[in-house]
Amino acid sequence: MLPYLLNRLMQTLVVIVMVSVVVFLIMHLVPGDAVTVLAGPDPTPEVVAALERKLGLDQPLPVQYVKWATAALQGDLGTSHIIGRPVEELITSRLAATLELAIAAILIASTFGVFVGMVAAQNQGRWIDGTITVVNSFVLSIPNFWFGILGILCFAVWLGWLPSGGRKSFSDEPLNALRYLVMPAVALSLDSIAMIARLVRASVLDELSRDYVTVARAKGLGPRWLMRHHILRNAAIPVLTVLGLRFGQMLSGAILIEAVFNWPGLGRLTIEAIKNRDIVLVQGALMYFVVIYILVNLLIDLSYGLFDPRVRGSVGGKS
Amino acid sequence: MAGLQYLWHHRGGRIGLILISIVILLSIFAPLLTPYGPNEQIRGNELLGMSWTHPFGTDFLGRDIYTRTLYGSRVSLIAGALAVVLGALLGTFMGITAGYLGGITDAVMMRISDAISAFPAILLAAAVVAILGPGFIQVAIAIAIAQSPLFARLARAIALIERQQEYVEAAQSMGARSGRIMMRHILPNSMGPLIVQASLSVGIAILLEAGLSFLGLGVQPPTPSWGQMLADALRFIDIIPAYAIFPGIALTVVLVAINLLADALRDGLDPQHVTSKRIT
Repeated sequence: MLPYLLNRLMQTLVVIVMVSVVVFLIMHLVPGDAVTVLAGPDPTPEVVAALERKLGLDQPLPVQYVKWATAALQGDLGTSHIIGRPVEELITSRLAATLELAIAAILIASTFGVFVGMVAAQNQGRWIDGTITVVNSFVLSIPNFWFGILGILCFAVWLGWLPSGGRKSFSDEPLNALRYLVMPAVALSLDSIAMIARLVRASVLDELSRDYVTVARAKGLGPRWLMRHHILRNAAIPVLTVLGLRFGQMLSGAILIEAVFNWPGLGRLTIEAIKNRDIVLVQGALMYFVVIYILVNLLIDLSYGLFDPRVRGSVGGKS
Repeated sequence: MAGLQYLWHHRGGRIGLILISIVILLSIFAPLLTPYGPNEQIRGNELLGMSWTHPFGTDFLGRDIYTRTLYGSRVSLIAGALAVVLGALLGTFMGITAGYLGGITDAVMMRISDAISAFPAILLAAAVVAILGPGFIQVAIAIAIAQSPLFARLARAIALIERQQEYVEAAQSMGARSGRIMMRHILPNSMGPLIVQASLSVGIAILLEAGLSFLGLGVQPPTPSWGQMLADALRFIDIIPAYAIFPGIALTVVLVAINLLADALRDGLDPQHVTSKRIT
């Protein structure tokens, strides 16, 4: 297990370094840098030079990168030139909202996805299986953000059951917070439910045809025990992989859902920063998004070992 | 033609083909199907409900929503196709070069590809738009960059296999240059899987374009785009619900059609997929 762990950690580090280079370069390619913003209209060359010196922009690019990366490692991502507050502070104030949304969505997706997939697999070939398959294909083609807009139309405008947007804190008013969370979380989880259901159906059917299931049945194991302790455990690995990938995609999908529901998350902050050309903030937010995505995938990879002893035993390679 | 015949005989493929043909015809003949122009503002007709003269109603500037939905298909289809062509060209070039040349070229190209694919696609596309500025071509380029790693990985895998083949060895021994071998020999052998990947990517590209336009980073007003129409619709959702419904239906129909076509193409062109289906 240890060599496998070290190998995966090394790979992750290399990708994070590469990503930081890309993010750093993106910042330097954006027209209208911090100097343009701070210097105001028609600045004299002296003012520009002084500002460049102050911000360290007169130094060679590799030196600037090393300085930025070192500061970032110490938790200092710079100061937003537009908002005038540290990037770290701005991001952490919004990160909880995005994570809350993504975690709620992944919980909904895994619960309903596994349930629907199991129902389809246990009724293979019957009308209920056929209906689930057709609905799944259709759901996979519906854009999440449009589904969110339809949700607002039905449940906020027409029925008035749920608020059309915004967020409330769970610590202050938990029930109200749930009312605000439910629509964005369902909209965000929609395609993941379909995808996980499809995968669970295929995995369960695959496991049902294996010899160990026949043996377990012959030994008199009940169908519920068999499903919970044997089939679902074995079918869990591909589902876990997809859950990890979906979590990353939910973080990016959250950008659109946050815009639809006025959800004060990291996605909205990033898009506002891009529109305002707040380069330092864009850079910090991009790094946060990508590092979370990479770390979630690393965790998912490592958690295979919990389900599959073969991975635990394998040296250096993924099985 | 053989490809079209195959799609026609595939159940899902046929539905996809019919739907996408209808959308393409509607986008081409849009001027004949509506008396209004896509940007024509009719004073005093702002935010009207559905009627015979305005089947989907009018928007906040008095423009006919039905007309703008029709014209919006042009942006979606062209931006989606252009983004995939550019992404496929870029990714295939990176992948074949990396796979055929190997060594340091391979390592550098693939690490760049890894770094690009570590970004959520819409975020990367938004960041690229921040560099290039919003607009039709810029959005297509942004989506192309976000999608290029998919093609790069696929093309590299194929190039790694193909470069071991005898016909490549024969071409090398006859003095053919690397560029010629990659273009004339390896590329044609990679086309099948790359076409399948491209067909799968068109749907994603159209969705990304709609998403970017919804966020205000895509095609700029007054050019009609479904994503941007949905963003406008959200502002007036309690006054004119139809505005939020029809551009979304149009977008969903195109995505359903493209996904059906992509599934059919995958069944036909990707022998691995068919084999795996047969085994399971």
